[in-house]
Amino acid sequence: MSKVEVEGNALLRMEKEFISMRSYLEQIISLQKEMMQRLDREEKAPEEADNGSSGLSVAVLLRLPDHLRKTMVALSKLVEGRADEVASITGRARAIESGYLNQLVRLGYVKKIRKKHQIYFAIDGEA
Amino acid sequence: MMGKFITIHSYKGGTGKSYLAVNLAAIYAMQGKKVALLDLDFRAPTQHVVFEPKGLKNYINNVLDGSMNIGDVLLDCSYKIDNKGKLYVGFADFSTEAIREMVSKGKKWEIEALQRIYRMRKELVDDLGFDIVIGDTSPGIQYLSINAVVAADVAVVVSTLDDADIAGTTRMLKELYETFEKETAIIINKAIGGTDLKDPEKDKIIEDLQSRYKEAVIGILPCFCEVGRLKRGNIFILNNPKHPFTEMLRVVAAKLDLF
Repeated sequence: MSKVEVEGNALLRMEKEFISMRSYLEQIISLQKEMMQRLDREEKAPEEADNGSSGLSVAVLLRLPDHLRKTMVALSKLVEGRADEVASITGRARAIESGYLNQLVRLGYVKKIRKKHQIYFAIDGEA
Repeated sequence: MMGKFITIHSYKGGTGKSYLAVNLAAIYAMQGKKVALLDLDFRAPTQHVVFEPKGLKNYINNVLDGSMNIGDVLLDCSYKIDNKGKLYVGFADFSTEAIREMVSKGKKWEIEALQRIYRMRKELVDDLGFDIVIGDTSPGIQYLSINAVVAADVAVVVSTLDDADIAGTTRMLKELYETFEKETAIIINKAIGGTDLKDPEKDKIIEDLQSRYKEAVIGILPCFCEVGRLKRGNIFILNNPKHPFTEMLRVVAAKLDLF
């Protein structure tokens, strides 16, 4: 076998080894990506639970500023109620509670229900 | 009279929460109030030992799972106070499987339970007309206990004079109760050395608590051996109507009425 042929065969072997190594590396990278995605999902899970289907949780209440928390707790006691009913629990003016309840509606924690000419509020996301 | 949901909570276990809960419930019932006592300590239920219910199938666990209403779960236990009042009890499932299941419930389930506790409170107070609802919770800061405390009209915190208990209770009051602007009452139970033995260190702890929380401290109950000696099945205040412990609990009940 000539020197050129020997070198050619060696190059072919090296090429095969490179292809094999590349394949292994691709598998490792793919597995790492999968692991990263899984870890990411697990890390996000508790946060998603806090923002779960229920509009009411201790975590949500703690995130709210004091004035809205008071309104939210009062509405939770009523389960469903009007602004004046919430105001009778918090001891604040009806107009103020109406404003706070509408803020909670915009934040997505409370829903508005129209019954004839009256507006009722309820915690959004029935458990 | 507007019904009231009172939770009995503590930072550490063994403070006498369940014992106080059942005796307070009995005092209120014997005053002519319609009373519901709820065992909300799903990890270590106690009230079934006091009331020994037979053939019980419905538990508060079912209410929190959304499969039953609280009205379906309550049992008339007025016989336990010789029918001297109306006392209903909601029991926590005390089977090992149920306790294991409650412990393994996910965070999402516990979060959703807050809404169900609010519904339960409304049904008891507004629909079933209970004057007093007493919830006996698990100790510590865990979701189910916090849920009950958040939903309560008045939250009673029971602590002993143990250093760790006082430190934890103080932190819990600041970080949880004050955040939610809870109407809070504090009972010091098993006050060994404080009021009975006149231990200056223990007296100092009591003085500090009273100066910080003022009228929120509604009772300092010494440690009576005869209270601990009586089996749970015998409700103390019923069998010992003139005992100082009973008298002190009557004062606690009267002060709670003012909240």
